[in-house]
Amino acid sequence: MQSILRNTRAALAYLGTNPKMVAGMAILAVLLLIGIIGPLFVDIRLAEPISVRTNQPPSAEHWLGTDSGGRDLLAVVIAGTPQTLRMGVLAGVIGTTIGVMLGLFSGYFGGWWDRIIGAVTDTMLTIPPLAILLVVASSVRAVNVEMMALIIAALSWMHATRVIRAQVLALRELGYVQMARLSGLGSFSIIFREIFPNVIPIAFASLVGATSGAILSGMGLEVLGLGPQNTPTLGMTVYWALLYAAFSRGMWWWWSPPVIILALLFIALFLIASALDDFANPRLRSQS
Amino acid sequence: MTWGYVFRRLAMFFAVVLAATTVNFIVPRLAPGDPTAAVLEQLLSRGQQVEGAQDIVANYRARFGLDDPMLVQYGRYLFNSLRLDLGSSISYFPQSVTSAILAALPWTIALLSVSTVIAFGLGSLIGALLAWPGSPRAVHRLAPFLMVLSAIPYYLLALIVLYLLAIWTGWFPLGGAYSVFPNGFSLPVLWDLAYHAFLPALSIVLAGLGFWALGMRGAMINVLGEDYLALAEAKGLKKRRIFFKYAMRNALLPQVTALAIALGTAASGSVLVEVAFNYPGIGYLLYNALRSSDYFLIQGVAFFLVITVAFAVLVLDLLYPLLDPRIQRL
Amino acid sequence: MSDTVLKVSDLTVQYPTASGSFHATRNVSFSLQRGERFGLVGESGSGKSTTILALMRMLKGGLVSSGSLELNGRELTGLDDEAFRKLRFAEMSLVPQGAMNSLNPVLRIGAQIGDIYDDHSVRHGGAERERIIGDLLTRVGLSPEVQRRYPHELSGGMKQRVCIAMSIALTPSLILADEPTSALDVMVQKQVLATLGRVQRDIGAAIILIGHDMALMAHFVTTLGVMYRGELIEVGPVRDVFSNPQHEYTRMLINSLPSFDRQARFIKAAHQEALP
Repeated sequence: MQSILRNTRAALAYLGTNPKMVAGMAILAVLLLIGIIGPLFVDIRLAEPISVRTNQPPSAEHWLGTDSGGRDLLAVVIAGTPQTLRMGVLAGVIGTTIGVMLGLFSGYFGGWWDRIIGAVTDTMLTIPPLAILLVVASSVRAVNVEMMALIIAALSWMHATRVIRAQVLALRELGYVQMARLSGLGSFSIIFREIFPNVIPIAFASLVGATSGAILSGMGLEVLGLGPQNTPTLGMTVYWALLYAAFSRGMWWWWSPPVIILALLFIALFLIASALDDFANPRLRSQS
Repeated sequence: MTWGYVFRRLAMFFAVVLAATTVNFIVPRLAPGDPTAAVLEQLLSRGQQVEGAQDIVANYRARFGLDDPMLVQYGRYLFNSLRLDLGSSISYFPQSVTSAILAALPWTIALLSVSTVIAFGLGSLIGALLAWPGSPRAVHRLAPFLMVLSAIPYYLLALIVLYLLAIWTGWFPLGGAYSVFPNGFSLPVLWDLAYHAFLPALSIVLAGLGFWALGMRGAMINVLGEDYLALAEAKGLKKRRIFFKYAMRNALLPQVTALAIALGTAASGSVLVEVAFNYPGIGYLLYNALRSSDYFLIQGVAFFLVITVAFAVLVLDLLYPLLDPRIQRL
Repeated sequence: MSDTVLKVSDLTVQYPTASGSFHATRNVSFSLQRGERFGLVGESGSGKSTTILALMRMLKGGLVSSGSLELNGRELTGLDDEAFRKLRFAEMSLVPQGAMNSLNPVLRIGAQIGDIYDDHSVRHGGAERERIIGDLLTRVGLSPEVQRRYPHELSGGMKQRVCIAMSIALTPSLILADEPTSALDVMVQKQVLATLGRVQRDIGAAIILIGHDMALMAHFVTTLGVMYRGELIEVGPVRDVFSNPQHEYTRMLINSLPSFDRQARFIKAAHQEALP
């Protein structure tokens, strides 16, 4: 436990000075604030269809204009950003938890379990996630944010399994782990007390990566029209914009806010994951 | 490369095919309601438009043999899938799912393979230069830009590229793959194809570039710390030779392994890029299938996407031992 | 032409660190005659390797802050990088420490030796190149066929022999060997060192051998230098150093050898080896 605390302090001290971490966190904080503070100033019920005049360019009344379905786009952004984040974090947490567990057990116990988990992981990694999601989402039809998160989580554990497993294989041979084993400590105690604290940085990097991947997958489904029909997520907004030809009609205010926010979100998550990677692999630090 | 390795790789390929088939078989059955109900309901709703409705229903019944035990149904489904008999398309009737896909697949494969090769090659070169101490300052200034690029997904880049280079400037066509459907290959036809493919390809290249560059930079940093690089320098070799033959050659090996893993994501991404540009590959086919709830076609596209990528990965894995002599040859 | 191959005077190497600069070597001076075998001993961090790296201009992060390095009458410190590159292995070669990882794992041995010729403007026809590399390998006790193999197909001793073959490819006048046998089995160490000695004598090059194994060293070198904390505290013919050490640290090193009896044998061996 103490080692976890000490490691956490070291991690925070390093990450606090890592420019990528600081920049990523700053962007993420701004996006979160949009969702938290926004509703205080803007009536997010205007994100529902037919609540305002359609096809209005940005004006004093509607800062980001309105779309062809009669939604106020500022309200859509304020209501949609947290939904997109929630879906991503939910799927990321579930997927990473599964992945870390499989990685820990696979790396520590080795043998047949390792081979089977390894083979399944490698096989799953080569399957385009969109293909499976498509089949599932198109069969399930009416999905909501939570269900989508669950479906996506089922396909976002492999990366965590892979990197954690590799790390555990190295850790398993270290002196203090061997000592713990010789002193008769049970396997689960060794895994969670001796090994797990050392893979936390990598697990965190995986979590951020999985969250980003989940938002990506979710966006993929949404822009194909398979997202939650009644929730104004950022991806669905892009879908509606494309469906109603916002591009060729010159309605840049319709498609650009969700695209920019999604891009910023991906950049922020990438910067954070990259900073965590730097922390976990010091060799890369000096070069970046 | 031992026969065991070849066998394992082949087994993995068939495991992927099996998994894709199984998902296609099980998922519609897990969905609420009889599997025929969905199709029937949908056929009824467009009964006037689809002349072959009866044929499709018959096809569907025969295909699933809905009165047989589940295991028999599954076996039959598997057998049909392996023969690439994926049923009839509703939206492209009377075409079968397979023929609709086979007509679209070459567009996707050409677009995806050319742009992935460019992204991989160019990205790896830039990444190698990023890690190389002797490279010009300008290269190092690229790093943050590449990082941002690698973070933005294919689809968003495609929208941005589409807006900037097609709508705003009008330099490139808004979408499609050709002005007139090509009959044979002549220079103007090829030019027209390249002109239309440029923006989708650019999106895929830009989206991949940063990823490959950052991966290569990491691999390169590892290689630069190796003893054999120090000896290569001590031997008095020219910088250029050390860079290409001793550092980059070796750092490319993990990149090729990463390529096999990244191909699935790249394929998913380029499907969406096709949608953004109305490019007539399987992405666009899929978009139409979704718009018309053509489930067989959706499943068929998913199936083809999976097996195409799995096949590419198989080829890559079987070729890898040619690059790395440490893996025993047959 | 003078018989002095290498003249090092007042070599000082500094590594800048967060807390001021650190002196890796300080005012190191020595010189080598044609064909001379010079041994450098000292504990790790004493500056032995730094001296060699400074000679090869391969210090990573460190810099030569003062002193002069003269090779075959030419001053090296002011030489431009390209001229220095051409000089490497042509006039001064290196047998590396980590033989196990010093060869590129994905290139055939022949290609790795051939690169030396290619980048020093030595042109051969295909068959001629193969014959020359084959001869080179034969001289270090390997079969000519080894050039078609990859490093992972060779044992540690064979890899080190390949490195020795590389070091004499362009018949340099000076070979630098940084603990060339430390990664090998004890049995193989002696054979490889004997091979190094033989080819060195064949081409008449001077050699600087770094090591911490006094016993192995005494058999091999004619002149011995002892380094301690970045300074060369003692230099002299090997038997003088053994029989009459001037410095406390040298005495300690000699006393750490197993027994007086063996010391006597080393000294005797050293005498015999020193005779041409």
